[in-house]
Amino acid sequence: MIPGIPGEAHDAIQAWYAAAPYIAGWTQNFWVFPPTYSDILWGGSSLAGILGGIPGGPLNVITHSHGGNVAILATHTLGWARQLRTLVNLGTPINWDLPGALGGPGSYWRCQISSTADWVQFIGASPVQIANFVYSIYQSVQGAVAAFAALASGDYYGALAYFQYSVFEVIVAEFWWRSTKEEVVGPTLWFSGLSHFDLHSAAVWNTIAPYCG
Amino acid sequence: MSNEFRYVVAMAALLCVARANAQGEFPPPLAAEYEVTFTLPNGEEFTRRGHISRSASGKMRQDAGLGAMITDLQSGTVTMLVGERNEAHVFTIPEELRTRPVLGPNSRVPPTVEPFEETTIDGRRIAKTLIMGDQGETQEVWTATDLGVVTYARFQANGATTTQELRNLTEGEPDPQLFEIPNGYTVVEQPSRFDSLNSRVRPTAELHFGEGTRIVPQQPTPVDP
Repeated sequence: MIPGIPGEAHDAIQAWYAAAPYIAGWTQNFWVFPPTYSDILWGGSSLAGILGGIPGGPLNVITHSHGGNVAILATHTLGWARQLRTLVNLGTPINWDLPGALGGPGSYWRCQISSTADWVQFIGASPVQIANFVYSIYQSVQGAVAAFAALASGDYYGALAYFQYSVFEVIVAEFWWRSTKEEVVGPTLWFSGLSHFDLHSAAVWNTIAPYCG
Repeated sequence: MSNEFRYVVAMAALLCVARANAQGEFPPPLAAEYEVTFTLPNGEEFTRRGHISRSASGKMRQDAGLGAMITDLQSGTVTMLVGERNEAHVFTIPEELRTRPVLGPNSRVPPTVEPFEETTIDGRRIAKTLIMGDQGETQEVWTATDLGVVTYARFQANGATTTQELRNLTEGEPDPQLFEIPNGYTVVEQPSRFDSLNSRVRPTAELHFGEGTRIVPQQPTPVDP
């Protein structure tokens, strides 16, 4: 599911496994939005068919972005019975609408790779996660304004309570932010400063391979 | 939520009459850099740095990573600017949810909080407060009472710690363009589920992330396979 860029991640993966990866391009990938996530469903079905055609032996699947959710669907929901050796999801949105986010892994070992700088991954999450994040940010600013109003009116202890509340909402927002990036059924390896598309580079693969490969 | 908190008054402090600028409805405009550090239960930590800008008209912009977020209390919107795609995702908070939080036992806001220390840091009057949750979580907040801004906060729960700190604070109105959607950005409509807010989880007590979570080097370096 990872884009095949000659000389880039493809070659690094080939070098690591000493085997040429099979590129399963996910071309119908526009409708990846709620409520239907229709292209993810279609991709899952398609990938299950592709995996079913691969001869036996250890099977490692490496994905990028929503391709990870396609792979989860393919291995959890669509009747794919064989367990993967590894499933490595690069920048995959942890989307609470989609099956597998909280269920058992369809792989022996599963790795999530995320970057704190990646907003594309964030907007691929469930509207539930995003709405909670957005509302907490909004409430945090509201709390700061209420605190200032209390200060101005001489309610000093009330103002300090509002500041506590404002910070609390930031912490809640951070939780929702991380909920879109951090896997609950396996380890997450974090990068900072990398973009969504940086995550399928050879440099990232070479860094994570000892942990995930 | 506030019912689940009990408040720790560490030390009775002198009541400091607010020196806030009471002329406007919104806090004074400012800009600052901020740093958020997460420390995992296994001791590893990572840091996220960003920038905040606050206008005199109640707008706040936070830049972090490859995106930014603009909160506008007057229009009731939160706009996410996704730099990598030149997209602006605009979320409109439903009218009924725009009410200001209120103090009180049936609110998420504590009734009142007394400072355990008041001091001066970098020439600013700072009030330090601490509250504890019923599951041992603690939240310490330092507030600059003249500007109405939190300069330092530390939240600890479940063995993990989140620390946020403001640096290089400057007063004054930021460039108004900062609060607008940049030219060339596409506005993206995305479904919202504000109806889901009633099921909001406790952010720390239910924070069960995956085993083995770890931080890898900030700049990936090639490793021979």
